[in-house]
Formats: sequence, C-alpha cells, structure tokens
Amino acid sequence: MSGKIIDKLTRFGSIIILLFITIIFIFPVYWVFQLSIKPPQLNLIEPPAFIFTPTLDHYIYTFISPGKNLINLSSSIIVSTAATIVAFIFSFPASYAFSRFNFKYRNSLLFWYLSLLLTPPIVFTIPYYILMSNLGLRGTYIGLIIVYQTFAIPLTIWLLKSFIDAIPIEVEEAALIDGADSRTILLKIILPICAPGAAVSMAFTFVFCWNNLIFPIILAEGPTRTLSLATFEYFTVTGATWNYIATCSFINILPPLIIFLLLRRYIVRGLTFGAVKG
Amino acid sequence: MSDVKVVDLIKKFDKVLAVNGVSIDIKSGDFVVLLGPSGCGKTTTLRCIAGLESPDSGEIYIEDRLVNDLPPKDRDVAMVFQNYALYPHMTAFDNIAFPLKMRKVPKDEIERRVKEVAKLLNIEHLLSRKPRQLSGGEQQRVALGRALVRKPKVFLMDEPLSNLDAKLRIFMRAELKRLQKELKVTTVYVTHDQAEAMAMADKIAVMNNGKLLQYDEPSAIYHRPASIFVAAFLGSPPMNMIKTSMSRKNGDLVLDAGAFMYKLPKEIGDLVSNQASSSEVYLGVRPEDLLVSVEKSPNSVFSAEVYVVEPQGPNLVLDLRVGDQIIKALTPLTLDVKLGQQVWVGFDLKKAHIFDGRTEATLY
Repeated sequence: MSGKIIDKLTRFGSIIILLFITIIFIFPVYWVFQLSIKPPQLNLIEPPAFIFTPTLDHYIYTFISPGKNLINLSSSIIVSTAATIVAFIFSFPASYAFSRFNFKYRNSLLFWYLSLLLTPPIVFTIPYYILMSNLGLRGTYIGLIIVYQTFAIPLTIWLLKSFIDAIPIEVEEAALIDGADSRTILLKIILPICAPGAAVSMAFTFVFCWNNLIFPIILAEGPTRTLSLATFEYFTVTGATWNYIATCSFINILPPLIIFLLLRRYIVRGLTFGAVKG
Repeated sequence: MSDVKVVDLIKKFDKVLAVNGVSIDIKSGDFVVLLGPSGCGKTTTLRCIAGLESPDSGEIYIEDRLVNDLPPKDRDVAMVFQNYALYPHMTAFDNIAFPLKMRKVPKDEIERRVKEVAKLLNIEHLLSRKPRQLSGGEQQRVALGRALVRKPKVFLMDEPLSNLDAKLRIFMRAELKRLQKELKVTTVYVTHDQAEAMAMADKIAVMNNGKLLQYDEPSAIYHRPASIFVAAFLGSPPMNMIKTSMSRKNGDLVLDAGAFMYKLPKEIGDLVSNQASSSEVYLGVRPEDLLVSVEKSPNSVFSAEVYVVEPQGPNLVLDLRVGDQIIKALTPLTLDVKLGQQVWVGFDLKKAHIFDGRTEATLY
C-alpha cells in the first residue's frame, strides 16, 4: 500500500516540477504577448497591470499602417525558406557521402563543418560585407541566402548524417541487387527512409536562419531587412518602443512555433530515430 | 553443367585475408551451404558472388559467364539478408514489386507476379502492411518473396533464419528446402549452424580461416570428414577426439591413449603409419558410435567413469572420464548408470577415424 502512496507522491511531485519549468519557459512569451496588446501608458507601471482593455493598435501601427513590417516578415519567410531548401539540396548528398564513403580527410572535413557552427558569426561579418559588396549582392535576397549557408549547410549535414548512419547498409545492398542505381537508391530508398530526419533537420535549419540577426544587420537593406532586424530597429536613440518591439517579437515567434507544432510527430520520431532499432 | 563457379577466389580486407583461394563448382539447381564459424570467409564469398565485394583475384562465373566486373544488378542474382533488409517505408507489396519495377516490368504483370509469389508464401493477406507491422517470420517471407519474384538464376542467402526463434527456424528450414526443390533455383546459403546445413544442403562447403576445407554431400562430410576441423564442426555433440601416441608393438601398430591401448589391424596400421607426420595421432569417434555397457563385453575397448549424465529426450548424453580426457557418448535412456560408476566402452573401428595430430588431416 505504502508503495502506491509513494508512487502517487512521486507523480504529483514531478507534475509540480514540470509545471514550474513550463511556466519559466512560457512566461516570457506571455509577457511579450500581453505587451503587444497593452495600452502604452500601462507598460512600466508598478505593480504590473495584469488586467486591462486589450488593443490591436500596435499590430496595425507596425504591420499595416504606417509601419511596413509586413515586408520584413515576408523577407524573413523568403530568406529562411530558401536558405533551408538550398542547404538541404546541397547537404543531403553530402551527408550521404560522409555517412557511407570512407574518403581521405573525411573526419577533418566534418570537423571543419562543425567548427563553422562553433565560430562566433561576428568573425565573418567584415569579410562577408566586403565580399557581398564587391559581388553586388548586398541588400539582395540571394546575398543573405548564400551567407546563411555558413551555418545552414553544416547544421543540416551533421543532423542528416546521423539519420543516414542509422539506416542499415543492407537495405542499400538489397536495392543494388534488386537493380537500383545510385540515384534511385538515394532518392527512392534513402530519402524516404530518413524523411523524419530530413523534416527535423530542415526545421532546425529554418529556425536558425529565422533567428539570425547578425548577417541581416550587415547585409540587408530596404525590403530585404528581416523581421528580427526590423524589431531590433525599434530600439531607438530616444528609447525603446516596447509595444512595437513586442508585436514584432510575438509575430517573430510564431513561424518556428507553428513549424514545430506541425512537425511534432516527426521531430519526436526523428530525435529517437537512431536510438530505437527499426 | 555448372551454374555458379568460383575459381581461386582471394579477398583481403586491409591486411586480413578473408577468403584464401576458394574454388567451388555449383551444379544447376543445387542447394549449396557454405558452413563455418564466424569470420571464416563464408559471407565474404557469398558477397563476392553477389557482386557486393570485388575479389582481389580469382574468377566468378554465373552460367559460364565471367561476372567479376558486372555490377550486382546485371548478375541476375537475388539475395536474402540476415536482417531481411526490407525497405521500411514501402508496403510488403511494394517491397516484393521493387525488383520488377526496377526492371520496368509492366504494371499488370507486376501485380500478377507479386500475387503469385505471395500465394506461394502464404502472405497474401499481409501485402498492404509495412515491414514494422509484420512479425519476424512474416518479414522473412516478404524478403523471400522479393528474392523469388524475379525468378533469378541464383539465390544467395546470408543466414536468413538466424533471427527467427528456434521453433520457427526449424519450420522455415523445411519450407525453404521444399520451395527450393519446387523452383529448382540454384541456391548458395550461408550458415554457421551445422544442423541447418545437414538438413538443407545438397552439398556442404566447410570453410575455416578463409579456406575451403571440404566440399561434398552432407553424408560424406559427416561420415568421411577430411580433417579434424570438419569432423569436430559437424554433429551435436561433436566427435570425440582422443589424443594418442602411436607405437609399434610386436609388429602391430598400437595407439596409446594413456588410459588404454588400442591395437590397429595390420592394413589400417600400415595405412596410418605411412601417412602420419609424427607419432601423435587422434582417434575420432562420434558419441553415437560409442557403445557403453555396464558389464564388460567382447567389443569393450576401455573402461571409463561416469562424470555427468544429461537426459535429452530419447537419449542420454554421458560425459565419461577416460584417464585425463572427457569424452561424450550418446546412449539409449534405458541404460541405468549413476555418477561415478565404472562403465565399459567400445566402438567399431569402421565408424572411427584417425587424424594426424600435426597436420590435422584424416589418416583413416
């Protein structure tokens, strides 16, 4: 009997702890959201006003009129989506090669990719600024998409490689004997099998691109300015316009959130892909 | 006519010689088992035939065509893997249909042939399922179906039954054999299970350390093993090897096992002493060929002490201590013996073997 009580207590305790952790994570999101619909005069009062009449004014001001943040949102979507797709197209065959072929300097090359992820992006800013200016790509979508590959390709390769590693080589050998060529094996066998992995790696790459601020700061101009950059610009010399920052931030949170909710099933499967035998 | 011919096959991995000069001639329609302990080169040999490994030297022929440089898909072979290697994202139907799709067979014919194979394997009701929704035995059948559907020249099987539980394994072993006889497709089958090899094979190729030791019919391998290794690898419990030293006494050749002496008849003694490389020879007798009795009888050769008694269904396996060696004997359950009891053991020399202690080759 006492065992059952202990079980219940443990369960209760773990629920309390989980609830606490969840609140810690959710609270900032809530705070940003309530700021985005709060009349500005209530922003900084003590104690904070939890009950107030919500307003959509800030959304209208920033995104519709006179603000032009809708353009920045579309720029974020275009650049992040394109960068993710480009990274996947290059990384999928590359990660297959890293997983299956034993070539010279394979591990050094893999480590080099990892080092690109570990390097603080600020290191790249000046060379990229000069490079993109000389190429005439500063202030273009293409320029940003190319520069995002600095981290998008290494990230995708490392994630995809672990998923391809988990596919038994016999499956490919069976296909080889069944009459498939390398292209068929890659596209009709490997790609569908690691689809959950591909979804996970693309989701992560997308979020990395979406959250990037440093490259747009140096390269984006006019309509190519991304939403995170536009948000950043509400910190003005005369002070921070908190409500506008909050509206942009909240909209900025949504796409990654939606992606992870949509792909939740795959992401859970993808994260346990290597651990569980197929 | 030979369907598959392997000539002087050599395959190295880095510096390890995985296959060392193996030659096998496989007749059309035969079921050949490559048998040996793990790491003996049997799987590598099979993979060379499949085209998944390229040999360092030697030739491989399929229906008299040299296939060394042909990719697997052009060799017209089908393979069943130990872990089945089904395509996890395809249904059983699509798995079986895959080799046909790759060969651009028309759709209605694919449908017809997949159904035909499914019927043969009793998996018609499973065709719409994905591999992970199938049991091990069912996955095995789908993998077989994928191999069968193309009607290949040669079937290659790499321990296909080893992932099944014991009961299903024995059932599938019979099924496979019936199927192979029905379809008359030349089959090369790799296993480390000697009972499986004995049960299924038309011919067994026993391998060890990359070398082919003996290639013959199962009964010949069992009754006339070419070396100590082959003799000890087949049979359960394995053949007893009694260490003896050979000497001449009054012109007769005598084997001295320490605990007993055994006099060889003249013609056999001459045969053995002419071939032996040293005086150290092994007397090999299978457990079922040892005659154990409580009383001394005319064919008793030596006495032994009962060390362990293991009842196994219809038989008893006795561990007997002879001097400082332990040998195993298979006797009927009716023999009433106790631990520590002295018993008499005899054997018929016609069913015994004599091996060279140094070269391990069979002398008699």
